Amino acid sequence: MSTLSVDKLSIKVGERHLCNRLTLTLNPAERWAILGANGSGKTTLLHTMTGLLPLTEGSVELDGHPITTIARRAVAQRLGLLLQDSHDPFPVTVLESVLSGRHPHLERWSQEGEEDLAIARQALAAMALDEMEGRMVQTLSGGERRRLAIATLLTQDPALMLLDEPLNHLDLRHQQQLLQRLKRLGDEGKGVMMVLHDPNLALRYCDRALLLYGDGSWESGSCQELLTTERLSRLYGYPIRQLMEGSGRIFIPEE
Amino acid sequence: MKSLPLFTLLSLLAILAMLVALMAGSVAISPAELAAILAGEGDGIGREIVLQLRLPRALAAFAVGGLLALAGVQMQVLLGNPLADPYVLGISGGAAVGALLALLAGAATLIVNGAALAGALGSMLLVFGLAHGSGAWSPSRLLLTGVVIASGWGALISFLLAVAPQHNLPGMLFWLMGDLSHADQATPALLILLLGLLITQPQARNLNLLARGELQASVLGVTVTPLRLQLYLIASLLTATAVTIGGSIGFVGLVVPHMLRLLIGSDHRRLIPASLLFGGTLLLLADTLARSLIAPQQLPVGVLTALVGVPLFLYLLQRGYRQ
Repeated sequence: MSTLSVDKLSIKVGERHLCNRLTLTLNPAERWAILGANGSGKTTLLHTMTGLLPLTEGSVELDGHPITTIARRAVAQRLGLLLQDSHDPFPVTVLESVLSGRHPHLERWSQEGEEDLAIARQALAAMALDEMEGRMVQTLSGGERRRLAIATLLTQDPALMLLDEPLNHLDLRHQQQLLQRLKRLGDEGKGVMMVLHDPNLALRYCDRALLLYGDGSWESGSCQELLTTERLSRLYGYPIRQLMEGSGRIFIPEE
Repeated sequence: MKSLPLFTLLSLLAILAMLVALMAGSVAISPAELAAILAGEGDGIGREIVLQLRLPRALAAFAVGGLLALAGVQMQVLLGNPLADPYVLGISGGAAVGALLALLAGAATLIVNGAALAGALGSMLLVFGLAHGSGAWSPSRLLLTGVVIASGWGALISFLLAVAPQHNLPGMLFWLMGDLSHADQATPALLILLLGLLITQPQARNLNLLARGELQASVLGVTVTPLRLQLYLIASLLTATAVTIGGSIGFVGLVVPHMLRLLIGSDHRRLIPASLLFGGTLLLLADTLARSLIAPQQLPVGVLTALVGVPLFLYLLQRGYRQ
């Protein structure tokens, strides 16, 4: 079990403060949603939390050690990040691509074994790509490539998963199936943090939320308490109202 | 194709090309004579030709082809661009300016080689320094810097050709087109080729990841910065060695990695050794043709690599990627 702690982290891009003294901890079995307008710093925050960007102020610690001092391979064994976009300039097959998720678990000279293959195939099946393992990645559709990137993260199988807009390019059914799977992974003990653009999905599938207002201010807390029409209207700079549906709430933008 | 038959096939092709290279030329040597010579027998002249002239040149051709193909694989991954070749960052341009200056001064082969090496390494340091300047070292910045420096070398080369006296021009043009007729020392090139392989092969799986972008590689556990530095230095060293021996032989470094990607896929654990073997074989064949087609006159080998490579590549492109 791993934890990722962010303490008094400030991120500046140029003269703009994206977040000011942000403090939060991603624990096992927690499901976080990050919500915020375009350009509010969601991706920059995830990259900083993964140690891909240098820190200027504050700290990010994985299991008590500053993330930038841990070897990348050791980070990758525990912490995964689904990037917003993937690109493959060179021809690779779907199976080769998804097997790259095993990289941090393999010694330098070892080859992927039966077990790695089984994990990779299971991940492909989970993303409904099991018929396509011999296809070239370049021939896949946008949604299929997105599912392949997610399957690669599942193959990596880290204790903590950060996902940058995992629902991009996915159709309605695959969106729901993915969120259900991520919810289950949280129930099984994984720490999951994802950037979402729909507060309703955050409410349904996540326990905790981080709101990034884009001016350096932020709020975090349980989804039920934090997600209100006032906050969301401020967050997106657009009036949002709430409907009641049974015991649940649905947010919709004003017309 | 599985790895064992693949590498058996590639090795057999290399050996076959080597035997052809030893037999073909202005003085034809029959297989029986060759067998006798290799067994340590045979008459004086044939023995002299094979062991003193053809064998060193054939080995040098193989080494240069291997160096260029290996450097091509590394440059393509380093720059994240399938169109990159070993010369894209200006190393061959720098070498050419050095060599042409030496040729203009009427220097001996050894000095020309030294000047080419100095030009190549100088260009490599220049590009590295400029691209590294402000600390940011993105593939696109490196590529742009290299391409611009290469254009600068191109202008200098044209200038040197324009002002060169008539009698110096053929030698200079041969150098530019790539020419192995002065390649009589294979050992240094073979050693550097071996060194390049030994340093690159352990990184093969890391290269698979780096080929999919710096961020993805880093996320999956690759320490990107030192790996990219290593790729730059080793690819530059391999290229500098190749151009010092053979001039700017085109095509091999760009197209051999591609041909093999079409044939065996992009897994660098196989692609690196396969490129080395196939690049070496291709250049060896091209050089054999270059010196036997209109023997005793010799053609610049760079012309032949393209003549052999273009149809082969187009055929593979038509055929499409392996399924």
